Amino acid sequence: MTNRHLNHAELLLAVVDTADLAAEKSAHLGACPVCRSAWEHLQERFQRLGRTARELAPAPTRPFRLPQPAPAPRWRFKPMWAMGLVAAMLLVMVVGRTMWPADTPAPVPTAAMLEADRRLGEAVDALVADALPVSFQHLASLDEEASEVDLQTDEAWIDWVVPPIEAEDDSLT
Amino acid sequence: MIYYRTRSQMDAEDLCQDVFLRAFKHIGRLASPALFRSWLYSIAVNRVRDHHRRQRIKSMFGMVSVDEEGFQESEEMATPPEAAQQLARDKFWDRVRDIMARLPRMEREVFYLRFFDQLSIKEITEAMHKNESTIKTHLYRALGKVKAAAEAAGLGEEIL
Repeated sequence: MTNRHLNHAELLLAVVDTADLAAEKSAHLGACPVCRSAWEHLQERFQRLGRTARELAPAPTRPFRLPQPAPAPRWRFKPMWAMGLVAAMLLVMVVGRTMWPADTPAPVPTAAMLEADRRLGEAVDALVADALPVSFQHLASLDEEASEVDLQTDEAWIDWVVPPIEAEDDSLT
Repeated sequence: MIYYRTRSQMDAEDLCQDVFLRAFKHIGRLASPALFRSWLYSIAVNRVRDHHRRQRIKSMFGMVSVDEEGFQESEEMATPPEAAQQLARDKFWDRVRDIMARLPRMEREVFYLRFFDQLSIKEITEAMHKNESTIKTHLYRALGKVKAAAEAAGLGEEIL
């Protein structure tokens, strides 16, 4: 066993893990009351800091609550024969329609129908031109006035700017 | 443990609810019950990081006041203390914040987990997804910096 006492760095190393000390230092720590006292005192100071933090942290005021489970959809409890019957009826309708085509002539498009089609086309074009949600449009637009984004409530916008850390949550499994 | 990192009771309770809810939803993915504590802490650490990132984004738009370590100045912190106990509590947390602000994120996190949350080195390696020697290196550096910072601030035995 060496007679030299543990220095500051070795004492810190011992606080992290005594197993990381060199064998002779570890033996010295076990036998020297001065070094052992210094090590225990240093360790106690860090532990006291944590203890004080735990004591001074406010107690939770709200209990943890699980969200109410959504009621199971009623269709799940319908008997299988009812679902089979509905499927069979749908099949008969589809097959029957293809085997016996309707003899009514196709309707001739009227001016009103053509106008409705034109308006629908314009609406689709407008959607394609401004595909982003309203809160994002000012980010992509250079010539339009920026729209207001409510950062307190627009969680989707925050998630878009700062994607949440999801992948690391369960990587321990 | 979330309060140490957010210094806001309201945020801590919201995040705590979120952490437990995520743990509850994904508990089936936990391979071994022995890993539960580390797994729960890893979720909590990630959620706190997420929270600080969001706070920084919001602070850029002037929505909240955030200091350099990402702590939000919450309403309860801004309220004048009404009792000596509250004063002492605020003083303690201010000093802890000043000391911890000198540590890089990883060293600070490892220090919190070891001494504030009382995790073992093995549990910290699992919670942080790092190997043991990396965790020990961060902890060793953190110990030296915390001790030096406390002594430099004249706190000595008072806080540490």
